[in-house]
Amino acid sequence: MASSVDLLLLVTQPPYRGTLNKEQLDLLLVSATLGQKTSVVFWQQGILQLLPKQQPSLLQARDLQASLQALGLYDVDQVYLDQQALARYACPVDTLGLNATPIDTTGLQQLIQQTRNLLVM
Amino acid sequence: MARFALHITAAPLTSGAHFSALRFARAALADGHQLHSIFFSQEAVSLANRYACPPQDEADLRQAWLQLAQQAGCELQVCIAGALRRGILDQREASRHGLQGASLADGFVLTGLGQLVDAMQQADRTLTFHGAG
Repeated sequence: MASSVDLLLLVTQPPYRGTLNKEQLDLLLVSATLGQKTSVVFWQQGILQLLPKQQPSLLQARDLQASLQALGLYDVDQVYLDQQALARYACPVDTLGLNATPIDTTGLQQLIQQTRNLLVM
Repeated sequence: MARFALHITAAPLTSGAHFSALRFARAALADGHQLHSIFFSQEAVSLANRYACPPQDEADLRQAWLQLAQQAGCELQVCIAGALRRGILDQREASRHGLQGASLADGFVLTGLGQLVDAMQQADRTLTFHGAG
């Protein structure tokens, strides 16, 4: 099958994991800037990175919220959210302030099949 | 024949990930495949610390990577952002930060995430070695 996504980043880690969250964001932005068709799935605890009203300064952490909300502006093609995790953590999609599509395990499987490079972080 | 890129994120000493990556790479080369990029990021950048001195009765991981890179004919690329955070600087970065002496080991180059994206684009397959967690 032809690949319709050059890079799919599967974000599985929650926020406040040291420099990892920033590295995930950097990779998305670099990839999209270089003209790669780039998509991201926030999977399992990864969706917690998108919860609104976080106060990273209390943990001396860098505030990535504005950048995460603006992924579309940076030419990141598609943002997907783990449907099961949304239910599990009681996060309605629209509270996450992001133009994103819910995806289930079958959807993720199909997406991976259309993807040239998958990175899990 | 396939073209592989390796992306190593695991710390050198806390898992067997580096050894797995090396075994994979040697097997791929032995089978006639090509390895065109090796990129170290996150905790893996510690591998490139010039001042790491493993005891003589332990496998020398850095030496093993250098040999592999020579065999494969590719560079050992180190994520510059991760390296600077961990005190791994080449001469240029050391001067830029007003520090004396480089800590980046010979045979490694500091480079950006753009190189990783480029490597993935050129490869048939990119393999990431995460280690535990």
